[in-house]
Amino acid sequence: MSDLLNRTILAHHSALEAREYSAVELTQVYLDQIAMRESEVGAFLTLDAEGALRAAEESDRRRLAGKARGMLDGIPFSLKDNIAVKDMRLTCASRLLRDYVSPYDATVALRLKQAGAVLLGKNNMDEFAMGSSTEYSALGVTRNPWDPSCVPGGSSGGSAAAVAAKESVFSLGSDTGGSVRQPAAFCGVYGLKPTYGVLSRYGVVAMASSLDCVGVLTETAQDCAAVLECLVGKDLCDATSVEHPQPDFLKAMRAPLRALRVATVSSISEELVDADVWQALQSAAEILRDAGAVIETVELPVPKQALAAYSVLAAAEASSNLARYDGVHYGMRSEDYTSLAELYANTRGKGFGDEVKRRILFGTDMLLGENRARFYVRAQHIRERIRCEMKELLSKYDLILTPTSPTVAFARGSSASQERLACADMCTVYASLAGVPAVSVPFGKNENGLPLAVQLTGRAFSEGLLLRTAKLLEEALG
Amino acid sequence: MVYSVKRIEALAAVARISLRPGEAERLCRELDTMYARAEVLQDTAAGENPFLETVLLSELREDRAQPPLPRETVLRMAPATRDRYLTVPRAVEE
Repeated sequence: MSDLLNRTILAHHSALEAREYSAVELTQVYLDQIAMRESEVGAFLTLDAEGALRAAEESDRRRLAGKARGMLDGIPFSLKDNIAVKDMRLTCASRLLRDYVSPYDATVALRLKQAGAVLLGKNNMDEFAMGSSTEYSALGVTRNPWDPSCVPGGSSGGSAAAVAAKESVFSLGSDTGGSVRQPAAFCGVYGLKPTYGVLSRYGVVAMASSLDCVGVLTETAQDCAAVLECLVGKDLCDATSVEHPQPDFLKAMRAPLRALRVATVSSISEELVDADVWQALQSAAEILRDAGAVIETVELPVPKQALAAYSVLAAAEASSNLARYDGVHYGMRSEDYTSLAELYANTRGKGFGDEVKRRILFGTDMLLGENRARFYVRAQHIRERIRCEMKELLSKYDLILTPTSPTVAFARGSSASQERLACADMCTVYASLAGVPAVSVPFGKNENGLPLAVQLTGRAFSEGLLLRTAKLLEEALG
Repeated sequence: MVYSVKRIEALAAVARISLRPGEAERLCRELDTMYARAEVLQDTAAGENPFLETVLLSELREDRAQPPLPRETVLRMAPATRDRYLTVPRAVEE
């Protein structure tokens, strides 16, 4: 049965419909795989084998009764542990929420439950989604499935590692500045950040609300389309949620691909990225050119300022969003206090990890006194400039082709980590700041066996075209 | 050096975060690095309007009264309770 691990969602769906195997058998195969690989990979913070098998039994009963709910019915999946599932731990990989159990479902979790998908458990992440390596998790270590000495990327590192290690058919993560796309690139899976507002964030723990998006991690472009199709749709519980004008993503995957106009970016030059990443980018451009695409080199607006604007805005919003963790209503409470003020400060001081504290203090400073105008408001203006220039650029080109990350997965605990972490978002923040969709496409491996990837960025609501183009690259690579 | 121990301690007080011994000194160095990166924001022309189209386009839902979470569910999540209430240290002096 272990060959089931290599099948796509569409293949599983057909096989389940044809009764080649049951959802229980499929779920058990994934649970066995988790049992075999988890001690090395460490992708999960919470595993619910009993609940998964129960959900799979229900799926089988529905199918036997002719009431299967569609493509995802009976398909095992996992969620980043900042997505709420009723009566399941929701830790955000933080000491502060280590024992917190959610009283309700996030909309995306509910939609997957309603589609009959089988939840295996919750994946590790950087604490409160702050980081690019999953090394800032307070609750566990996740290793890259292709090389355990390397990081899986982050912050959705557990989700990417779970899909890459075939411990889960698909996973949902969250992407604020690249937190789905970069771990997807490091682990050799697809990672889609949709247009801002396309997937509801109700029940997803907020980091930076004007940037946060739920994202999808899968093994193929078509799987990504299948999951996205199940999740889209306006949600009244999220004021930023929007209806997608072209939600038939699986149909888009079958559509012929017209000649594309593709932009590559001059500021992301050969000197700034690893040689093998650069080579992958050139090969991807060649495949697109062979398919009839016109490829031209363009300037992206203010690259250094884009990273700076992102870091200021994300930290400022995080400092506000994380004010709610005070040790009163839920989560951990310090035992060391004599006053309410001490209760707040000691709970937060002991509950938050170093990276979270660093960003909260920086974000707080960016909102105080003169800094507010000098940094926070300035960053908002620069973000608007970037959004306008990206819109103009994407009116002339269908796609922007870049690396997802300037590097392949780097070693865990490496001394170069801090500098690398600072640059890790270089290619991904544009889509985040502009609110447009982008997908990380796996593109083979380097000579050390580490995954390579490229990123496709498109105009708002162009997820269908992005995934169709990703499929073209996938087919060309074989 | 933009950040001093005194400034870090003031920020920590605003953010309601207690610091371990030696933590403020380390944070001075780390926040200085972050501040230096943010300084490039001063080097370029910005857009005219800081508001996002997505925010402007989003519609607020109609206000509708819904049943709240059951009290026992809320209390189950709380770190400290007594009878039917959350408990905190006294905030107003007698």
